Amino acid sequence: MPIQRDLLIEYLHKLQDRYSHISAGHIVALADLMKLAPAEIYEVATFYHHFDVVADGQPIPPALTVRVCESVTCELFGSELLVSSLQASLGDDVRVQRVPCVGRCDEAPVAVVGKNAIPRATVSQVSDVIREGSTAITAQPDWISIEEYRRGDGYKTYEACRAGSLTHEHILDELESSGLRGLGGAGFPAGRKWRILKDQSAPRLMAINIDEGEPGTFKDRYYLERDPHRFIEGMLIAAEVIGIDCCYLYVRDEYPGVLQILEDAIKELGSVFDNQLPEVHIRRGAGAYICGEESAMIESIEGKRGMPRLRPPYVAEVGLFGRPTLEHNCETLYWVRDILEHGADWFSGQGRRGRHGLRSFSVSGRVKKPGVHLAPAGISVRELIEEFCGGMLDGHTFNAYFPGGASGGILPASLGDEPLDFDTLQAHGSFIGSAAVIILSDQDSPRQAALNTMRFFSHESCGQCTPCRVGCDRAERLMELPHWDTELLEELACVMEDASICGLGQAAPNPIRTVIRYFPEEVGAE
Amino acid sequence: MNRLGDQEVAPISFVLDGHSVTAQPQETILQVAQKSGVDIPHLCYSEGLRADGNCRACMVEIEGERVLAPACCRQPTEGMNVQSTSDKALRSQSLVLELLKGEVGPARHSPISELEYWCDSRGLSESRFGGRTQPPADHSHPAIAVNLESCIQCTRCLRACREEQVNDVIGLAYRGARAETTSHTRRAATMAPVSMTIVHLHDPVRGISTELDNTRTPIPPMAGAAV
Repeated sequence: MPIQRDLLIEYLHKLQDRYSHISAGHIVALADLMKLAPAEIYEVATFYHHFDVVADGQPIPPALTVRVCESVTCELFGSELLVSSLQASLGDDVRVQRVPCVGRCDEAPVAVVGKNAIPRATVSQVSDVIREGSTAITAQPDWISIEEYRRGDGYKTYEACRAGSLTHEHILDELESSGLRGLGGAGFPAGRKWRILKDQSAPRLMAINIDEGEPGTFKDRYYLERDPHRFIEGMLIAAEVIGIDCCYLYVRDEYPGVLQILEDAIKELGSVFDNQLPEVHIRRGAGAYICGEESAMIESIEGKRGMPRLRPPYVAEVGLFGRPTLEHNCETLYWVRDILEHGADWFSGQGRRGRHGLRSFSVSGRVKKPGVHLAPAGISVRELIEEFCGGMLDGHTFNAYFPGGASGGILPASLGDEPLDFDTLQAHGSFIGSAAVIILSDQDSPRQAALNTMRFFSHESCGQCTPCRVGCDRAERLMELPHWDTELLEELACVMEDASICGLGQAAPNPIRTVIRYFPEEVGAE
Repeated sequence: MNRLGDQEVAPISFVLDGHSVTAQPQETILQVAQKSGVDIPHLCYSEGLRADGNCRACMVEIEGERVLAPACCRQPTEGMNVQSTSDKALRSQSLVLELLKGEVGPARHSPISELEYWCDSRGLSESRFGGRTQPPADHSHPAIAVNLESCIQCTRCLRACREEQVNDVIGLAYRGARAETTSHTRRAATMAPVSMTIVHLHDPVRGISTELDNTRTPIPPMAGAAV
């Protein structure tokens, strides 16, 4: 590896992977090698949860860590008991850690032994896996190789785009009329974003967000584990149309399998195409939800603490390494080929209740068939449960749902016929975000689910701005009380929403507010 | 007209709290407010340092924008309508001060406390949000003691140390409520940079408060560092 400032997190991974911790000596040595102050290395290393920075004389963590997901869906399915039982039974040679969402909510509760994710984990299963030493990356589903992808006309659209038979203007028009929007959660129109970037001065860069950390969301992993080239083709088309020579893929560290697949798929690409392809760099996250925020991700790719930047300037103007940057969620690019092949009308023609397009819902919770369900935009949650998820689990009655992961708030079953799409849930104090739908039943507590999300936000706040750093922590404490001081919580919610730097702090009050609004009896507000 | 590079640039007219005011190019809303005698609370901003906009005490409402903007970082544009005293702006300013008031310990480490000044101006005598567990004082270095109980993570000391003095011995470690101003290299550094650092550690702001013990003898550089 070359010595580059922006590769700091990659170097820290090498140390952590090799020694299962990072010592003071490692930091000083790395500082010397990189000609950086140890303080700069230390502050980056301690920012990320996947680095264990250990002081001289302090115990080194065991080589093996079992990470138990404690986010909403896993908590519904007993993660708390799993953690305590594992801690009691595994002994000192194995570290059991509670961790935020690992992106496998349809298999809850999930424990990850080393890099091996155990679906519907039990103590005996985890113990067996440890005994067998199966700590390597979870077995991957067979993914579509480049040969197979090309047999299905894969990369034809990209080749047509390069050859000029598919003009850049036509592609931009199609994207715009398809109504494709950013599927990471913000919903910015993709075609408009491409046009904005095209008008910026070169060199321009692309940064792709595969840091799928929103609790309840696992659609990006689902697509990349099956059909990575469809996403890569979208990326190459974007690079060609906009004029981008260099793309960065930021993959969350919880997805080592995806990282492996992408590395292999990019290698395959090089063997088929000439050297006219843009440079592609894959970067590994290190356990930080905030790095899914677009500007925090850019900071992290630059090898820094993942702290969001103040806007303006926007990343389209001043982004990665100070250059104009196209930042996309990977699913947004995944649909580009299909839209160009089948036409904008094919995509925009789908939808219900006057909404347009398709949404990949990551559904988890109390349904018979949790998983990624591709459904028309504007579908209601009741339809989603009945038509796509095989109905509710036996013995459970639909009571509430998160329409958009932890940050989208919690809605009651009485709002179960609302269209699920961008812009349709604002009036209810909620949003669809990354379309992570978590279904709660009459046996679950919305109040407990809201507290779970606030603990998550508190754990994941970057700590930069007061409203989020102090606000999430205090909100968590106030929500732990038997009776919520709803007036004080509302004041806190206001400053978090109005004054936080980024979407994490701005959206973190949604679960508080929706529980007070729709489930007042649960918090002693009535 | 001013000259910026080779370009002639005109001053910018905008409205602040109902009054028409003028900003020179590159000036921020806070700088114009200060010139115009408009008091907007601010803690992480310090003249001469890069504005960082992290404390969120100086939030103002800009017409047409969904969320508030930090006056210390935002440059006005022509015709912009800015309110520093709207209900929404005042509420955020006061709540930020109240949250921070809960964060700091009761002991005073400097004669001037900017946080107390702004809290007093808003009639805030205590915080309804409670406090934090204070980090223990660090007396591990023979020449410098660090007490972080008044620290509000405003990063003024960090910016001064890294960007102005280029000593780079102060960092912001960990994250969220655990975020902590740190001087990781304190024990590994040579005494020269450390003694230079003391200057800004004595900043009367709520950055790091230090108690300097001049009676102790400087030590030579040490191998290894205390994490």
